[in-house]
Amino acid sequence: MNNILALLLTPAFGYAVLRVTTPILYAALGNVISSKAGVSNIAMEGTMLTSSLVGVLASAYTGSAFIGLLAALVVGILFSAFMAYLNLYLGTNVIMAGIALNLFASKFTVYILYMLTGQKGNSASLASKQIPSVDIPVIKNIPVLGEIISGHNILVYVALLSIIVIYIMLNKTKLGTHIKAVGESPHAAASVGINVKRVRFLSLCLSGLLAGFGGAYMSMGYLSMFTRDMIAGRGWIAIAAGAMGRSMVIPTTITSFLFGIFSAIGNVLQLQNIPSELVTTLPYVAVFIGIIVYSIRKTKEDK
Amino acid sequence: MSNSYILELRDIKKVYDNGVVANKGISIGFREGEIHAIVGENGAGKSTLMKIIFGLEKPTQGAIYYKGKEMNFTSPLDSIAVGIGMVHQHFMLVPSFTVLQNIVLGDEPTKFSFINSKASKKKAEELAKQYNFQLSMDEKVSDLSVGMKQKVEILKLLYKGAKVLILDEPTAVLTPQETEQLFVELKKFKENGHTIIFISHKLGEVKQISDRISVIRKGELISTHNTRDVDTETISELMIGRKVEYEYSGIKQEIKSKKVALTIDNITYTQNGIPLLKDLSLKTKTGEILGVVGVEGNGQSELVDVLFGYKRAEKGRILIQDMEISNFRIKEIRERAKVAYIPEDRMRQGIAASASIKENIIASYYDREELNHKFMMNHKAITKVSDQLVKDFNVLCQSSDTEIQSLSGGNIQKVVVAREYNANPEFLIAEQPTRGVDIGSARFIHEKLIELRNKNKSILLFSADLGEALAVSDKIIVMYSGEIVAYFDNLADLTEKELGFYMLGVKRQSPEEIRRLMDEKIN
Amino acid sequence: MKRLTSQTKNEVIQILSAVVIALLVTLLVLFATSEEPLYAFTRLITAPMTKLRYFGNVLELMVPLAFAGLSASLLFRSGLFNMGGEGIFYMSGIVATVLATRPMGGSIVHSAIVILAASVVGGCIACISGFFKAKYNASELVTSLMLNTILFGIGFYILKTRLKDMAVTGVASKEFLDTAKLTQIIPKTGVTTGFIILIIVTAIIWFISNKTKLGYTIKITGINKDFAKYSGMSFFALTIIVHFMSGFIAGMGSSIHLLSMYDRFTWSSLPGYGFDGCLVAMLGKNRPLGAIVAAFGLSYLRTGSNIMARSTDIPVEMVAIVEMILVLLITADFIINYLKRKKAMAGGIVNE
Repeated sequence: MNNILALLLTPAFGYAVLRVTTPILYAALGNVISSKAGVSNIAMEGTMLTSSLVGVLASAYTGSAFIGLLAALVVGILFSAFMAYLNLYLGTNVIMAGIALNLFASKFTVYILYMLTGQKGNSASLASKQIPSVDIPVIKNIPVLGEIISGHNILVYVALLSIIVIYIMLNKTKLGTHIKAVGESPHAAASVGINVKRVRFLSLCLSGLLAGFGGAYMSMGYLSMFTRDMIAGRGWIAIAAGAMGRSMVIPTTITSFLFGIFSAIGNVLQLQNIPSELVTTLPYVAVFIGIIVYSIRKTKEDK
Repeated sequence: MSNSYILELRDIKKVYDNGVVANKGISIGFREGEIHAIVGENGAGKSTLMKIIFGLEKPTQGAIYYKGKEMNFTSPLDSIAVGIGMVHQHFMLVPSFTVLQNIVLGDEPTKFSFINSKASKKKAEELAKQYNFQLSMDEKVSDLSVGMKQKVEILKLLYKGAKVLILDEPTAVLTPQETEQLFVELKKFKENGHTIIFISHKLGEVKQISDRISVIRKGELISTHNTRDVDTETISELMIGRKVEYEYSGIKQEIKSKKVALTIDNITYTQNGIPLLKDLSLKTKTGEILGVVGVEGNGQSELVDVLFGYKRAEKGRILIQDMEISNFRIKEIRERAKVAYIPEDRMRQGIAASASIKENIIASYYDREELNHKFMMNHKAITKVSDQLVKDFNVLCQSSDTEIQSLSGGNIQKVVVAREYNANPEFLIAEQPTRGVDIGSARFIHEKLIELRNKNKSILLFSADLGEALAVSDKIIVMYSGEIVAYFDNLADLTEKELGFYMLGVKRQSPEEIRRLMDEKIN
Repeated sequence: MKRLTSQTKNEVIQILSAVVIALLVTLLVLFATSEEPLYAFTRLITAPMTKLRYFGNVLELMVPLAFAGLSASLLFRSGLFNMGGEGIFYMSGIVATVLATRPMGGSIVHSAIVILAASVVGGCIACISGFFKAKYNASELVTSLMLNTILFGIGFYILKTRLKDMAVTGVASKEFLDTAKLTQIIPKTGVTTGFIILIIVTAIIWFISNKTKLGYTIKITGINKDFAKYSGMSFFALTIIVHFMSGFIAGMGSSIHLLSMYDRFTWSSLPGYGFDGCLVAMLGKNRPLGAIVAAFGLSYLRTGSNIMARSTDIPVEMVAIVEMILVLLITADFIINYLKRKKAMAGGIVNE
């Protein structure tokens, strides 16, 4: 037991938490934006998956990690824009559309991968690029803190930065105000001339942009290639994190980190002869319990 | 036509996508600096007309002229831009935003794309001061009273530079004092050159505040008058077409063996710390229709919810005859206490829109023995019952398999009434049973209620239509601010005007008096 | 039977046009990506009908899809978005394996015990999300998704530590006993008596949906929860019952699929039937008969694309494009709305 505790208190553990939280954070923040606008984007899983493949392909064909990232972001936006179009203009139920698109992405990415590389499992045969990691000047020399915070992939820092950016966007800018107004009282927003559908469309695109970051990080940072179904439920976790964080930026960030911590604990415990099958469920159990506790408390409050 | 109009409608027609005709060619001119009332019954087409002026709906035909120029409004943005603003009946405010955020919504001043509220706050505060609005710009709208919310709405329009203000039933939710205050403000706007379009069906108020009155009936403009030239009786006749006097005394039978039907003992219900029902007690008898009147939002809906088991009172008892139902679930209230309910909002609480008439008409007693073989539904019996009800209640439809949402409002309401009637209740709660329903259907529904009464059942009739309440009820109570403030057991000499005093809290009977009257009549 | 209402007519038009559009797009994709597009297209569309064995493949794959689809459509129909079919398929499979690998009575009895136990466990698992939804309004979507992974973790752990056959490489349980396996009804295929059970279960669900009080309550609650409440229907009871039924059917589908097609339990990841079930439910417009038809269609398409993939340069995943187009066109209501509006414009319904 002490042994495990000792492992959890190392800087390496902190480093790992940041690393595993990043993709979830992207997706969870994306979910926050769309939920704030009153449409739940549950296609995060599929969007990230598609972006991660496109990132790898674009970087391999152009030889530039940056273009790979750019392509992943564009595809993330397009993917969500498609869903937004279905929901807002063709009247498809947003949950149904989300489920369908997730299933589609899971197979379609394999299809594309196979057509281009002849492989179905991963993109190892492609010379795709990695988005670089960076050391942070002063901080890297601070013991412990430096080891935890410095030396990550750039997209990890972008994720942390996006917490602040999104917070400011939602609370201090015109767009953010409109997003919240449209989500909370669409009629009120429409009555002052805000185009509700357009704002929702835009929010879904923004959530797609974040999913694009998350996808790119998965295949060009977290790993160095695309593998089949590599998002592995992170998109769903993010939606759970958004639900637990009541679609607010800070609480959702905290929940995402809690999830990251549990994942990292799981990774540590796996090395300790505790069965990995059970350990990997840990974060899911945590979210499950969190949702239940939150709902029970809310029910009691409402009474 | 003269060019002195600031806003002019010419031959406005509106046919909705589903074929409903709301306006059949309306032409009205509004003069600068007047208060122009538009009156008409529910469903006459007032709201649609206002939505067209405000750019929320596009007219199928016709034109809008503003300051002599033809306008083509495609969204509220266009109408706001020229200076037309509207205060909707249901406030268009974002509850979690502050007053200021709501005022600038849609048109936030930004600096480097960040919201910069310094200048706007100053401007809004100055406007508020000018009109004596006691508003704090940083308060959350959800914390404000209804009257204050309305002020926010008005301020929002003034801030956006509205010269023409459209107010849709602004007094429906206000206390008398608030109404009075609103009128003072409206006059001030008028003095400052604003044009006010005031939509209402409260003729007393219209008479008091407006300069001119336009009457709309069934999608058409009947006439426009100078307010001082007409009296309310004339207007009311014009609104309704023929003078509708509901008159049912002929069909009300004398009931001999009356018993106590409903007893409410000191119930209290609080929501978010605001007491909505205050220690309320009530007794009703079988063979009687008790009308409940009051300005919307004085505890009527809460009383219904508590009675019907949708909400729980924190204190007090409710009995139907001798059975205490305070802790019953809705099913028990329906089945054991034999209570039926005609809800106020038929689309939300009264029907399943995409189900058939048949499926809707049996919903509150679908598990009755005669409609089922054990756990299977007896479709033959259901069809028979539904077809019979459709026939008895004159529901206009192709067949009872038709989707209910394809019917008109009046026919949907007949289905709802038919269902609750056929539930064979001992006690019926009828909440606005004829709201938005044509006169023919309304009469029919009234007669059905009286039929139940004649069978020695008890009915609680919540109505915003005082004419209806007076004609249909045997007795009337008035609710004000979560309490019963008056009990009338003789309606012969009671006038709408007199009721109005109690509804607005101007007059009230003492609790002892009310209790004495109630008990006296019961025992 | 009822006359063909304009609603059914509209739906038929919608589904037919969806199928035609989906096939046209497929053809386009094939022309763009394949050396022999027409051959590939013909294989995709006609191959399953060319051999009895192929057609058997269609039917054997149809069984789990149909069960999963029935399970999902029950939930969707009552307005519940639960996607826990995945986890239930896995966990019920584990339960079935535990019982199918040890001797237990004669042939029919053994199969019956296995299927029944798997179904009941499935029902109980579904009730977890159902209970928290009914009592505390906890999002069934989120809890069921979390449960999927949790159940997989637990199930896989049990498989590895308790059920694993040490004699074989890889993770696999011991062999199912012959008494537990279901009898083939088309030789050399996985079409077994399970297919008959599917037909019976579908008939029962259809019956419940259309002829019973429960089915009526499900429909009304699905359309308008508030109205159902005011009519005295219990949302709590309904949510629990529907969840149980749905889980029961999923568990049954899982065990029947295993006993028809497998000799051992070998799933080392979630099988995907839960999500496919959502797809089937959407394609079938949340109706029981619709689910059967949709499961057949989907299975036909997948079998066809499998055969196509074997003999051409097109991978089987291409079918995702067809599936998505079908689902999107069938769930979007714009075609129906268009037809309705056209009628309204022509006929002119006038209110009052």
